[in-house]
Amino acid sequence: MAASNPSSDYFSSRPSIRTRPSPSVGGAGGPLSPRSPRTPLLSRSINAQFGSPGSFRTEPEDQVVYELGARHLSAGFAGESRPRCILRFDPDNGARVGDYRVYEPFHQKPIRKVENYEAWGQDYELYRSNLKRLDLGLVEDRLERAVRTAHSEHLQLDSKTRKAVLAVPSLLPTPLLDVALKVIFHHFPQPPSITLLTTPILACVGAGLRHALVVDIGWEETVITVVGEYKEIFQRRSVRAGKMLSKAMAKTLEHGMHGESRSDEQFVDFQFAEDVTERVGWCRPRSKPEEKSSTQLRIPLPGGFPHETTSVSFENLSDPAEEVFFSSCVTTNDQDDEDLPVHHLAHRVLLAVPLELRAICLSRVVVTGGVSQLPGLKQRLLQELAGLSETRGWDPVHSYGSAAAARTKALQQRKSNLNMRPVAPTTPMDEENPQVTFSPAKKPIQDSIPHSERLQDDVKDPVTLKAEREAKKGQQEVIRGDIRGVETVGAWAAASLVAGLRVKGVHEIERDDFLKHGHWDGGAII
Amino acid sequence: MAAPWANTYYACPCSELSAAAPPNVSNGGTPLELPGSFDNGEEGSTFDPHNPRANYSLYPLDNLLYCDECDAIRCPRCWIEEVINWYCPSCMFEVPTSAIKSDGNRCSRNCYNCPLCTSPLTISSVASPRPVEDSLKPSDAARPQESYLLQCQYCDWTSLDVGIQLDRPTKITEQLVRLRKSKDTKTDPISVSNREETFNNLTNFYKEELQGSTESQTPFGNSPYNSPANLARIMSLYGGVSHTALKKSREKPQPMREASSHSQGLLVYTADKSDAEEEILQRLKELGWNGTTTGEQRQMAPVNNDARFLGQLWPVATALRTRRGRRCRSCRQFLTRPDPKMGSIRYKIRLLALNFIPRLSLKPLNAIPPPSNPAFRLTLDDSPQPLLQPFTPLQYVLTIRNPIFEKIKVSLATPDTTPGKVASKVTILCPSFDVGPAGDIWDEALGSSTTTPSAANDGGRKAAMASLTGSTTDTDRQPEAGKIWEKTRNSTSVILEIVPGSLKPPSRIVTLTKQEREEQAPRQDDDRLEIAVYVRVQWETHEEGPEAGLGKRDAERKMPSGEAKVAKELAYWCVLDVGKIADV
Repeated sequence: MAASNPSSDYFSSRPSIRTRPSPSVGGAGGPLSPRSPRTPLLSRSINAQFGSPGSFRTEPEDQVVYELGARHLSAGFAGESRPRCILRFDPDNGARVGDYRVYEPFHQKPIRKVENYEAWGQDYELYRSNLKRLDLGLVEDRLERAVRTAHSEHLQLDSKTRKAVLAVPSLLPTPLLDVALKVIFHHFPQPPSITLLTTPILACVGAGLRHALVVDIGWEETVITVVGEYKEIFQRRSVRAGKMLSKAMAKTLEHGMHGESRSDEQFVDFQFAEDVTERVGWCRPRSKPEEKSSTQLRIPLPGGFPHETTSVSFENLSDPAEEVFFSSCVTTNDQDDEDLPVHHLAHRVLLAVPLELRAICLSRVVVTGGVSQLPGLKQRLLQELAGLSETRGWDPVHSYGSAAAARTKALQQRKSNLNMRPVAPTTPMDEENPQVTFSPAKKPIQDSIPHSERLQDDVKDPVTLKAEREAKKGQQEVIRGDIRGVETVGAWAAASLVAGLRVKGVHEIERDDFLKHGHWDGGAII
Repeated sequence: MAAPWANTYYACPCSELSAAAPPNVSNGGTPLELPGSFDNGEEGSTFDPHNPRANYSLYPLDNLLYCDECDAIRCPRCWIEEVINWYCPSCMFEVPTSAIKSDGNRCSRNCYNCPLCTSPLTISSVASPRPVEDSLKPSDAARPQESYLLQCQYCDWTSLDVGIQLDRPTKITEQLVRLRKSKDTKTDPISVSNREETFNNLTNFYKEELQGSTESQTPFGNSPYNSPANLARIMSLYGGVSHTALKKSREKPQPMREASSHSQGLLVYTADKSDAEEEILQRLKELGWNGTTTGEQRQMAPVNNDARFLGQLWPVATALRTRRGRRCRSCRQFLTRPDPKMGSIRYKIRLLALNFIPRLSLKPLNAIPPPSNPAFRLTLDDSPQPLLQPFTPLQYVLTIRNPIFEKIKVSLATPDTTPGKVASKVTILCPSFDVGPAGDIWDEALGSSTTTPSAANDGGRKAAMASLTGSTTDTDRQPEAGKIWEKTRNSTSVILEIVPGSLKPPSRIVTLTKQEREEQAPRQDDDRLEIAVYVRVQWETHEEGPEAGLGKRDAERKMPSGEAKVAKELAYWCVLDVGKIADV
């Protein structure tokens, strides 16, 4: 986010509300561009005398905010807490215009038997990041229809042109981004520019933080990003995400319905599995409760007779999340790098970033994405992280093997060295101690000179104490070290927040540039 | 009522998929001489109606418009919509433009929909429990307040289910807003409006922070030096630091704080304690499946986006509808424009494709009359169309009806075998012919005695008998290649021969891989035999003025002979639905 970048400019520090909008200066810098210095004093006096009061009030131009995910498009106006519409992609909205068979009584949706995992939920997603077998033209058609529906039915835009803000997952494949930009630019009313924002940063903004460990459990992938000072610093992905979860839920339901024997056949279609996951799926805490509650849930079957139900025990409904996100049976050694359980992935990501940032991020875990709504999941993630940091600490080496003995010796040596020096500890174990260590040269004078040698005992000097107290007043202790989660309002709401505050985006793509050059070389470098 | 599945679909040539012209083959007749306008490299690709993309460019004819300036079909992709007015479909009141955005494109009067089943809610009064000791009270004591609730007539949902009781039967919106606010203050850990509160807190926090960071950067707040030019001059005169150095020193951004408390929008949870999630799990256990909301209910309105349980659903204000004018995307002329007056359903401008492009319809040559009128069918089980047997030749009559007042020349082209998984053979016996002009009905009635009678209705009595009995004029006639089957004043019929293919792929020795099997698995509508026909229409028209011909497509050129006559051409793909192929 560029919250502070544009405001660092001296000239832009002027409140822009006061300046009259000058059409001649429009374009790149606008009235805030340093090339056109103005004297607000003078203009203000003119305004006071001759200007009508109306000229002060600049009409707040509203912006349209879109969030594009693999399975949905949200659209709404900037400054609002919720999108006006969330359009999900499903096979029904791919039907021809004038095909009313869906509305016929006793209309049966054809149940497709899906054999391989790749095709699971294929009709319900707009795109997948593997573009090899993806028809980009179809993506464009579907997206175009969704944008048209959003505009004409939900936003009901008039012909005024509005700027647009597009929130996309980070590392969205460039051809897909191209398609999305093309559709939005092409669609009427054509926006003059689109600001691109990425979801991890937005999740961080939406939590009110500057640094965060953003765990975005999406459809295809779980993306864990370390955000520091509103910048993505480190990112790793895992395929354990929503798609796998709904598949696992389908398997659980199938077992509940037909027993283990007939697991080769698919009876549970995607929509049913998805529905069950969303409505009654949950995630159990790390420490299992002693009493085993045997609550049974009755779930009506789709497509069957209206009162046909299946019953699944409530405990079983937490199995898929357990198995997919926090599978405990498989050791991490056997797993693919892209197939790590979420807490292991988070641990790895944290290991990869510098110590200071790790400590800060550890107490700013932001879980977002569609699956994060699963009750219990956020807490479970924190519990697992705490467990990992207890058992493994923050040592990048997983297993020392035969070198373990040598290491403990080295550690002991280091410890004794540490004990000899009365310096602030530097081991990662002491993250809760926020004291910053200095080199002896840079050390404050109080520390480097022993008390006895000081001319004046400024430690107990009341003036110094008072001065220090005063200086500390405005500052707040930065919470770090202990594991803590922070709720976020979500990517769309954060994008709306950012756009509503009129923060200038870093990646802003002008319409003319895009149409001339495409976004590869013209608009922006992404 | 519209049929659930239209017989004929027209492809708008605006997408690259449907713009491709067929190769120069037109089976059964003369090859098409396509003019140079289709010299793109894509030539040779045929339109596949089973392609998933085809769904996005095929429309029934009544959903298409026609731009008479550009002489082109216009579909929702290539027209621009312009809202003329907003209205509530429930109370039919027009909503002024200023109020639309603030009300969230929803009716701010008393129109509400059921959050469960979307049907309109009615306001009904609750019979307040009559106090028992009525007689002891003085007669002029304050009568118990009557209260009102919103009730769904369809599914019996009432607003009491979610604890909404209204004091007055009017100003529902105001009362509901107040109730929702008062619900916020109650301490419900999973309140759906937590999010709004957090959002507002965050907005205020960021606003303050941005304000602070901008203020702190102008230390000369109210001094005469607050003009940058002045300041720069003075600094350069007296200062040790130059203006650029000063600027540079400010380059370091003022760090924005992060939110630190709930009032600033920070919501914290720890590994051990989270009230909201425990509460959710508890309720899930208690309420079970039937207490949760469906995805549709959640997505119906932004108010209910976070409602996880039925008890959290809120009545949904009726979404507004719009009346829209449509403009052509390329020439910006109005294609349709409704009367701006509310309540009037008339159109001022309406350029329907129906009135401009030839209409195709397909029916079996020896049609078996339906057993009964479809309006009286009681069950849907008996399919109206018999299934097509694979590898059995069938003959169909394709009728082209001309809606314009000029005589048109039509050329049809279709691939030999239909693209896609099921290869059916199609032959058009007579691919190019003329269709007479449309005129007034009176023209036909008056002119029938003088003009040359068409083949179908030559012998008046015989034709009348034939039409009464429902049989074709002469049953012994055989379809011939190159011959028109039937011709009336503004329509011409030709014969199509179709051999449906088999749904099953040809047997193969090599076993398929899993992925290949996946690809070969029949998708929805794969068993539907649809024929894509490329229709090219040429006609000549009189132009009113010289400027009318400017800016037209290059396919259209001035005729050398007649200055006033202009040749026009229109080409598009059209998909004819034949029926379902039997799976044998």
